[in-house]
Amino acid sequence: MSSSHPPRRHPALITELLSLIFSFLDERSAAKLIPVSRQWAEVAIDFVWRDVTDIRRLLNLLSPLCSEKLPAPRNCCSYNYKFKRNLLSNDWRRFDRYARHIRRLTYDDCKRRYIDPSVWREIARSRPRQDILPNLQSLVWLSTTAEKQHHSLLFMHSRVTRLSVNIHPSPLTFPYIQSIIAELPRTVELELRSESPMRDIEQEVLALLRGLTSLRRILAPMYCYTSAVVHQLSHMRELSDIMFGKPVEQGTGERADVATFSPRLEDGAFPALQNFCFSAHLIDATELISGPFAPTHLTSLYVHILAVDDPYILQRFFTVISKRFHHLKELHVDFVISPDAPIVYPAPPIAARPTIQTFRPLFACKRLRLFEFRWDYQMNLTQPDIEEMASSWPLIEVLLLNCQPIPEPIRPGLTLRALIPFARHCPRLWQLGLYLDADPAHLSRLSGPITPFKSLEVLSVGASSITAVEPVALFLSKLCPLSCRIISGVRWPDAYGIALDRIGIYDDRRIRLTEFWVRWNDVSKVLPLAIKARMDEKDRMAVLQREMDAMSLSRQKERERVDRLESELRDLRYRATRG
Amino acid sequence: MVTVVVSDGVTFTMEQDVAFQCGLIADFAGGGGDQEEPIPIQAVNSTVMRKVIEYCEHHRNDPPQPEVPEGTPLERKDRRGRDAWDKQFIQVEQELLFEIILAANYLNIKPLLDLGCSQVAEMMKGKTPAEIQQMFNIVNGFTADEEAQNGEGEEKARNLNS
Repeated sequence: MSSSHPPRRHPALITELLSLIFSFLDERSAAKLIPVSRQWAEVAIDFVWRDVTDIRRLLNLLSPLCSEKLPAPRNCCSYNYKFKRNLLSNDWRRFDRYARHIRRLTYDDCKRRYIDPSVWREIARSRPRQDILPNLQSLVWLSTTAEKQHHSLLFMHSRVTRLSVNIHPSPLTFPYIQSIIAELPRTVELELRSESPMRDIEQEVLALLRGLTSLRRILAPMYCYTSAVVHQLSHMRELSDIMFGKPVEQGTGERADVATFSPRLEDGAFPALQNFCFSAHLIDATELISGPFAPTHLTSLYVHILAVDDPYILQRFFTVISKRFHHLKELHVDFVISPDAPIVYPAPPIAARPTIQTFRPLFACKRLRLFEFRWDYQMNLTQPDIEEMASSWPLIEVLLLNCQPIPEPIRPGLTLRALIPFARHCPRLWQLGLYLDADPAHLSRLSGPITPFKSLEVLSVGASSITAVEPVALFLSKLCPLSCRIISGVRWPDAYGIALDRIGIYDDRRIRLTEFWVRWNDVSKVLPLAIKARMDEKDRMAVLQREMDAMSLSRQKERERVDRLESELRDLRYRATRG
Repeated sequence: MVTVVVSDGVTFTMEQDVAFQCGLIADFAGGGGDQEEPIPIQAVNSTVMRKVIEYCEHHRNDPPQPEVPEGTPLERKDRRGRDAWDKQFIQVEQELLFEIILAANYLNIKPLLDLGCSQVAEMMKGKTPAEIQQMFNIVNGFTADEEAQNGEGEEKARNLNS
């Protein structure tokens, strides 16, 4: 039938659709499609060369590379790459066709694939113009030494607005930073990485920040936001995001650099700041946000706290937040259980831990969509507290409430019932994390229908205890939608494990953690099946109900007919007797 | 209920939740109640519309695709993958597949558009440029010089990828 329609344009001839089709291919398959047509070549080249993550691909485009294996310390192979011959003007002419598609370039020599300095010299010597990648917007250059960091200058021009660099403590770093400021005056996004503690590179970082006045977003290692750096950032007119980079990849610096944290803020500080991440003690964090010139328009706040403090200090912090940030949508208060974090041991008594009272000030933040909270030990929360929390945040979308605390001989205070209020009160909740005792015995007294979660996609149970898989899966099947995943275990198992070693937890709690993890995994495997069975059951029930309704309807009609006939009969009899 | 009339004059009536998966229809009906006038959809014929409705009916109970405002730091990924039903559904003749993609694009049904395009990508895998030209009825229009460069560029893109 379709052949009877007038011929139409193929989707593959509409450029946007062609780009969409290419997005489902890998780079290699896409590269093979360059010769199909002029239009396809444009889309394919753009797709293949838009983001160059391996710089050898780019260099090889200019002229063939050859590699030599370097003498390797400790069994790891590294290679050095060179051009086989000098570059000719013809090489650059061919290069240009691909070069103009490159928007993002990454060089990372931590993978032990080194480019010989002669390559950069040859490019600098023979290039026909300064901006060899004229449309480059984003440059990631992560070298293991300050000398190699300088080679990134070859690719810089004023249209590059996103930059990621390694900062090394070296006399070469200052001149490098001066060049960056000269070449990239319009940088809007800066990602800093460093293997060194901040105190060794702070002056260089401050100089860079002073020069990049258009910055909107900065990412840096966890302990990089020192008092001086935050003070410098507070002057930036357009800065809206102060973020942490991924800790593992970026190096994390040293916590000593932020152990005292008291950035000096002046009138007009942070005029555009919306997202603010920093590391500090709770008292210092509270001091910063309660000052007269603290930013007020924050929508997201992430405080990595250096040590657990008394609940009343936490409560005061929450109180300042609720009074100060009326637009706050996201709040993370993160104490990471790791080897370098001070951990109180033995654990404080339950009565001395955060309670609902601690969190209550935050219930005034009606716009809060995300609240993530990590602490050392489990908190002092009860089922009625959870009821209050759930009903106070009807708009919450993500709630992660300390679901992987340090295990203790006592069981988690909350049970599976703690899920029920969230399902009832929070229709937009798509990720929930709690620390629970999933003992089915707590469910025996449950009565009445349960409201299922409307949008839950992830249930994070962390280190929650679980003894039996089946009853838990059956209970969850009443609450969770079909697409919901269960995530268990701890965030950084290695760091967490070493931290437990340090405080001397070697007993069967460690083994139990693994057992729980295995059981929760089993729950996540059978849960979809249980939910499906329940849905089918519900469908069958609905069909039966419809049949019942139809039957009772027809029975009612039948009865009406009988009634009518009876009354007619009575009528006839009456008339017969009268007659 | 929503009624539409397609290019060959056939009318289709469907429930609102089915019809509103088409962004175009949802925009047209303005989110209001029942539409009295049939909505004209000139760019789609009845064969294709039948397939589109089949798709929308199957996915009527899917959770809504989260609308992620730009710049939101909440990490949410589109999880609607190709399930077995989708794979079966999209196994159609090439001509019809192209029509479905064009219809999904016109009617603004993003998941169906993605499904169709991923199927085309699937079909292209392992084919030579000449086979693709035939498949899509394309004349390449390259000069000999460009042709030579293409081969090189392709070669270079593949090099060193391992």
